[in-house]
Amino acid sequence: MAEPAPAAALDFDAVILDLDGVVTRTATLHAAAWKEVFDHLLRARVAEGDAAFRPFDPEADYGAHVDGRPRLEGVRAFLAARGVQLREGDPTDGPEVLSVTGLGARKDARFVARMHRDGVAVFASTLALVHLLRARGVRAAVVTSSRNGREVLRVAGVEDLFDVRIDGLDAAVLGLRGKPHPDPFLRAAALLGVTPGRAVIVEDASAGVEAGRRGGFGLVVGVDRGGNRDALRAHGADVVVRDLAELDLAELDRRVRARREEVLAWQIEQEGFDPAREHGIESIFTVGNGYLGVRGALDTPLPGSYADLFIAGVYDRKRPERPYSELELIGDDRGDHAHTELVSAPFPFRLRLAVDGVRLEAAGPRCRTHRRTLDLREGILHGYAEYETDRDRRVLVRTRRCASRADVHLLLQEVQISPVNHAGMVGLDASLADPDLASNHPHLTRLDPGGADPSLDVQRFTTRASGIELCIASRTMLEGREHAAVRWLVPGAIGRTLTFRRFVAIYTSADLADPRAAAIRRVEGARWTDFDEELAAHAARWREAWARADVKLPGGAATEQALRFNAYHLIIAAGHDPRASVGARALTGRAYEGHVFWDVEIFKLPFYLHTFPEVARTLLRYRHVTLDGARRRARALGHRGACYAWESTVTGDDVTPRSIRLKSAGKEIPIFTGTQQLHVTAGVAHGLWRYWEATGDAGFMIDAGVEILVETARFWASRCARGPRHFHLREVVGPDEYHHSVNDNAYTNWLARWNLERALEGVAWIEREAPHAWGALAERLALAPDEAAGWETVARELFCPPPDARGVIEQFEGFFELEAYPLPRGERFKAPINRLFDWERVNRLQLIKQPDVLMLLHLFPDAFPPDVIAANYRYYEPITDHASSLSPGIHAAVAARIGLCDDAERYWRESLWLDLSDRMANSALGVHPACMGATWQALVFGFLGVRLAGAGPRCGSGSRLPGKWRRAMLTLAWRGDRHELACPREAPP
Amino acid sequence: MNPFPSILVPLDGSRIASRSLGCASWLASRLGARLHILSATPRELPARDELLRLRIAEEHWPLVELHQAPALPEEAILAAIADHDARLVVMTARGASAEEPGSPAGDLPGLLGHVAQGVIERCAVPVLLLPPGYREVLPWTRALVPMSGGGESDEALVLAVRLAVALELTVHVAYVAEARAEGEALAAQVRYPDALHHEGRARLEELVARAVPTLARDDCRRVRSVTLGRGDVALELLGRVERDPISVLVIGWHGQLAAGRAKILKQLIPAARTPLLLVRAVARSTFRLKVGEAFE
Repeated sequence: MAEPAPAAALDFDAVILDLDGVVTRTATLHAAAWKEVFDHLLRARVAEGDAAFRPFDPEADYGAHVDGRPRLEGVRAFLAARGVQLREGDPTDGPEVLSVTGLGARKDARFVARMHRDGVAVFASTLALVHLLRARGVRAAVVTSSRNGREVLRVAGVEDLFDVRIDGLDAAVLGLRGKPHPDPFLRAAALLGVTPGRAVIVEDASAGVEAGRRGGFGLVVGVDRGGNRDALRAHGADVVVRDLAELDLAELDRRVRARREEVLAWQIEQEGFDPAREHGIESIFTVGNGYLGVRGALDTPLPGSYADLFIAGVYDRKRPERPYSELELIGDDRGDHAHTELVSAPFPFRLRLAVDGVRLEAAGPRCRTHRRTLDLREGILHGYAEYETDRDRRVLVRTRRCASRADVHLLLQEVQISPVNHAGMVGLDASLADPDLASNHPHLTRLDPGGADPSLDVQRFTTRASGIELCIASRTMLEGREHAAVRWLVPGAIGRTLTFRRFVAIYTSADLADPRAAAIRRVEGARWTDFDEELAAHAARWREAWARADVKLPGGAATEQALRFNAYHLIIAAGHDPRASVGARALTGRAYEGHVFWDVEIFKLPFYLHTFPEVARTLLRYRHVTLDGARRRARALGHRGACYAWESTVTGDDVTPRSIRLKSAGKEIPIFTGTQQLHVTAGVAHGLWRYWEATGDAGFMIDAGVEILVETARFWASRCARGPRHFHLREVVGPDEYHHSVNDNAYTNWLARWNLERALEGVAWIEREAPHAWGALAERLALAPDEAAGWETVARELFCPPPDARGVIEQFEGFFELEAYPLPRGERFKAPINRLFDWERVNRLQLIKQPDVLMLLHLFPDAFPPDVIAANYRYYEPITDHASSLSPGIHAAVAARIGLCDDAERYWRESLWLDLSDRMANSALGVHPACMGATWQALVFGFLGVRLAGAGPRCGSGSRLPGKWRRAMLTLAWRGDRHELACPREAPP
Repeated sequence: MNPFPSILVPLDGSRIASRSLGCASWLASRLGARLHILSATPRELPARDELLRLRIAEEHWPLVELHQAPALPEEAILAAIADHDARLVVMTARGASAEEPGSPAGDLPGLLGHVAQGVIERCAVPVLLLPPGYREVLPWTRALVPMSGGGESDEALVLAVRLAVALELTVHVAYVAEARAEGEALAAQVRYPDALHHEGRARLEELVARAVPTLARDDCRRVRSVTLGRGDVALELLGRVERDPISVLVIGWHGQLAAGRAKILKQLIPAARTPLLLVRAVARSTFRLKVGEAFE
């Protein structure tokens, strides 16, 4: 006879059940006891002349006020609901005393008497389920607020069914807060030896359900014995049943797995520790809010951490020891320009922890378990570490931190230290002083913090060349203590958790005149409970953000997770200050010196435009704020109008290095992009026009947009050179940066022509709609009457390479005649660095770094028939080495549009996981937000084929979803409204 | 911080094995370490007599804990490492087997005894292995670390820097590309004399920086040079050792000497005259970023 197949392992290890209403039917006993006590009280008050007698309702009042709560809390809740004031009383008050405590004792006495008289009924379905679970190796606990819990279990005869039992008496002895605090459940999980994520909670009260949710348990099952379904759902039950008979083991397991997937798709978790990965992990775990970014270094940073705080717009003169794009590449000195390099300020979450003088460091030898989890939903970075010091002394440390989205100057940090099996002195040093300031933060000089309150830690600095003052003020508190302090040494006890909370405020002189006063003012009055309110406000802002930016892909949890990770970084990258824009690595790392490139308008802006249009506006305002810098650059290049810097900071002046040097070899490479990569100027106009189309924001066009269009058109008109038949753009670098000094780069010329045409359109619009504003602007710009006509001529006659007989557009003049280069597979994505050094030879090869002609086809898909797009993809894709993170997303978008599903999916996955997989091996110096923007564009405009039209965005007629997704759901902003889209796998035509 | 607070020296009674005492005593003295001498003697002697017999200078006696046993199979040495919480083992590549024809030999007959092989393969703590051609030169001044980009060599570099701080040494890093690259990769390498600098994972600055984030910046300054070579790795390293000269070669390895494994180490043991500090990679299998496939 064949053996029965062994049962598959369940995906959870423990179940923790509430007692009353889940295991036992004591609710009627409790309700009757409560009614007896409260009705007696209420009648007495009527006799004393109070309001009319309204008896305790054993259903409504029981459910609303006392069910699931500790007894005295139940008394208080009911009395408050009836407006009855009673003194609190003494813990020794007996049933005869008229006080809150006395009433509690009275109810207890009535309940015990009834229980012994009537016995305790049980829910047979619950017991059956627990028996089945135990047979499969699942451990069980019962947790109740009732002080009679153990006695109830005994009378019911089910005491031995549970491995762990915690009742109200235990909770009082252990100092556990009652539900909805998760303390009793967490304690039960610890006693069972499981993590909360591997345990299931079963509860019938809203407070208990909320406790389960707050404790981060794997699944919370609500049991609705009648009329409580909505409340249980509202407080966080994952599933609500009328009776546990509705859940067999398979269904329970399926629910646990689905819930876990849902949770994991909203978080990035890292377990263990690998020094070689640490810098990259620091980048991906950055917390920020657009104003600032703090890398995800450990709370006790490694000596070699890049534990940086970056503040948008705070730059200083280039430091020779800091890298350019890679650790070993150093940009040259850029003279006296005071705003060349993004300043890295000291780490504002720095802590030193010790127990009995033994340092606790997550990367140290005493750390047994280490885990960091970035909660994408609420923008909070959690840490968890278990330490084992000498003589097997164990300590648990939990941390969480965030950069508030509700107040961008505020950081919050919490540390919980729990000695597990010993009592010892717990030390916490919250000083932010960096012991190696000169080396770690070379742009800064320390300033006297002034006579601040000694309970605060105040750090003041000034940047060396740009003269910006920064102030960081920190206030650290310990739960249960009135005062704040920088250094703490307090006794810890077994099972007791010491909770520290820190408020950090950061201001600079770019924000206001006295950053020190502002920072101190922000934290000095902070109270313990303010932390919860600040955290709630922060989380609420994140929920608002996700309502705009989330993409749901049923059946694609891992992809959802990566998309959310990307959206998270795009959200924290941009703020609301038009003096700053989003750098190549945003506020997550040192690469590219924090400079702003063309990728803002071409790669990132579409995401903001259709999720946070107000942020898109700010980014375009930055181009208006820096317009004078662009004018200076145009003049310096010998032209008119405005030519945007290839790399800019706060002034708009070009800060592109003229050369970069390989540190280990001293070899120098000339950089042509600063003088020749001009298409950024048309890219700004392109972004601006897309914003105008998507928002119809006339105010922006009148205040800034038309001026930018006019000045950029002026530049192109003066930069284009007349030839025998056409105008030409010579000596340029296109998006593919391997070829310099080329003529008539297709992408640049197309965009320049488009820029000129849109300028004409913009001028016509403003003349018609706002003639006075236009008159003033034209006068200010000294626009000659026939100047616009000149743009028209240049636009008409500018040579834009057309598709040849094969349908292929020549990237630039003579590209087809260059030497062929068979690109080895191994040189894709991580091109040998000697490609940079061999720039003269590469300039002669048909080898490109990233999309150039394909970039053009991506931006203007409707301008070219599908066969032309396909011909160009087939020609250029095999000769692209993807040495830029910008490349795979655009290839995915173009391939998806022409139905090359395998190519599209392959490139999209490269792009989607680029930072999470450290695909370019350079995420240590910051994440790649432009790549994230390209990934989003490839999804929305490539796979989903979203079309933006007057009536609002619509899914394409042939949505080709990668993987196993059934559909994609997202919200897109368009002309003042938010449009919810659900694109099925094959959308109907 | 002292990387080796406790050092174990196993002596099998042979004259060759006792050559490790000079270096071990010097290390213990400089590091302030406990020196556990595990001595195989037919019958237990009074400690003083045994120390005199082993010719250990009296100035080192306060550091020494003597343990005597009739024999020292590798299990006894491994147990002693655990019992005494030894953080470093100092031993010669051969002992009694070199003096007694017919004794069992390891995978390098005549060069590495079976006990030494068992110890270096099975113990998790670093082993300072004195090769057959060992010449004692004290004090040490320079440590050479061959880097490969793998986890083992990262561990070796970290340990070398810690040791350098404690002993005031300088650390020198060598990356040697094997000369067996062919075709396109070879063409790329010969295009420039410094082409090795440019090749992906061989980016040395990155290589070193990635290896040592746990070390303090001041400590990292002990790394004085990072050099490149191309050719036979063992020969390049041996040449470097003789030229500079190097006091100790700190080598990260995976712990397996079976056929086809540890080819470079097998070349170094017979040819080296400096001590070889063998460092096993710490298992980092616990590191996991739960994304993509790891998540699914």
